[in-house]
Amino acid sequence: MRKVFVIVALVLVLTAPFVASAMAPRTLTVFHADIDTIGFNPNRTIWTYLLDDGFTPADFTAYVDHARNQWLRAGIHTSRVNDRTTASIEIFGGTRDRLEQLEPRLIGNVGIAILKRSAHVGNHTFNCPTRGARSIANHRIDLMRVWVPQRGWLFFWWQRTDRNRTTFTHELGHALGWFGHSSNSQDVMYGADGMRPTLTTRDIEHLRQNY
Amino acid sequence: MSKVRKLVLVALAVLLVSTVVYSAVTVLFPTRRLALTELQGPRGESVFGLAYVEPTFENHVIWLSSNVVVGTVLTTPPEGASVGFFDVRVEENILSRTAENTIKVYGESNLLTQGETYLLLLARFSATVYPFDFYVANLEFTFRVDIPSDQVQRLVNLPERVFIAPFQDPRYNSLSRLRTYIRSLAPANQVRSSQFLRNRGQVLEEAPSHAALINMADHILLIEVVSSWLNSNGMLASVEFTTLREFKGEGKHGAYSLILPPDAKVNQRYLVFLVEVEDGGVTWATRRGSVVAEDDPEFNSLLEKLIASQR
Repeated sequence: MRKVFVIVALVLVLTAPFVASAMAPRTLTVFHADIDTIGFNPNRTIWTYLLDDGFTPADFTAYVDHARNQWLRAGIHTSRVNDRTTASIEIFGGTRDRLEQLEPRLIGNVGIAILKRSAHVGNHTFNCPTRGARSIANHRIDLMRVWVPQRGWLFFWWQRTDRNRTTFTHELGHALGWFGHSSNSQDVMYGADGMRPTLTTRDIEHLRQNY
Repeated sequence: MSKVRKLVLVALAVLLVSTVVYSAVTVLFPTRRLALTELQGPRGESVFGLAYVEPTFENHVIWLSSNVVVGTVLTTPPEGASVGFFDVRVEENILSRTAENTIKVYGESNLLTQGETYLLLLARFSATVYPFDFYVANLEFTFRVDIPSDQVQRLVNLPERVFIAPFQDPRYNSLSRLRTYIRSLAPANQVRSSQFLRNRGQVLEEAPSHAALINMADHILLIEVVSSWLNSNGMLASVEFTTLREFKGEGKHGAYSLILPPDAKVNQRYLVFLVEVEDGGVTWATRRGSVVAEDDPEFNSLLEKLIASQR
């Protein structure tokens, strides 16, 4: 019991400076989202679950790992956990029918991220060249739930991999704090389906500054 | 002519016909754009979707809506729920007709306010795992309307309930103009909306007999629940299970977990009657009677019938 307490205390002490730095109000240097909100996920622990064979386990793992590697390029490290209760990001995969039944808001979307537990921890400032000073709400994400169904039939089968990579990377971006969408259609964080599996500088710089 | 050459010619012919049909549809239903003041909704503060289509109002009507209605909110989800069902009285069907005059609309619990009237882009949802059909509210576009003054405003900030005039061109910021515009999109909607909207077909309420249920099911399983959790709306349980016996289907259902009613209990046995669906998954065969718990009076007689059918 004492060992557990010591480990938990140690983890809290080691992560506290990082959490505190993400929470501190600051002036953001760039802002590419269409809503005045940004977030950070202090734990960044990912639990994945396949509901059925919509994806093969190997493909599902590969897509999640692609997304993790992309965000690692922004300096945002994530880890996988087997215990759901310790996760701050839950990613569900499977057939579309099954996922839509459990989460009907998935309709019309190739993927969806839903904020389950969070806290508003302060406000940043962004001096927008066109709109002047804006207050950007900063949220700590305690649990984000992501739903990504299998793709339907595609005319060009090779599109499937890149489109899936785009979706997983996009949704993990939301789970890490990229709230809203980019208005630039080249960005992974643009709000419509596409084949752009690699993060752009805009995707990266927007979120990196909140870690 | 060799077989390969024939095959190539047939493939070319199919490609040519497809191109002609696609071009014809594109010409018949040209893309028209109404410029909203903001293309993408700063509406979802807690739900972020990656849409199938470019996030314009027109695309959401054409591709992602089965119905567009003007309706008045009669009831809202219970307090404390993050998501749930609103009872909405349909005042006017603008695109397609709803099956009933009062419909259930699914969305975030603070999306609509009781007593107010809205123009709603909806996707019809019909699945055996839910006890009723309902309509899912569009994530991006919700409009509050005032019928007497013909005014329309778009919801742009959900927590603070901020509404703004939706269109750059003020001519369209009226219900009558918007109605005309949406109706002009109906032909394109009829062609295109089926591509991304699933779960729309009629579902079977109940099998006329046990024999019919056994006959129609692609998979019949006797399972024991190992673990269970509720989905966001609390109406379904997603369960991990151990298969105790397979009466039909021989293990090709591909499900690592199953959906059961929300009162599903760990360690309890269930008979589950499943049908295969288009995308390769499985779902309940009927709305009622497809999941039978071991404390249900029907359980033993059904189990006996299934065992007898295998002798």
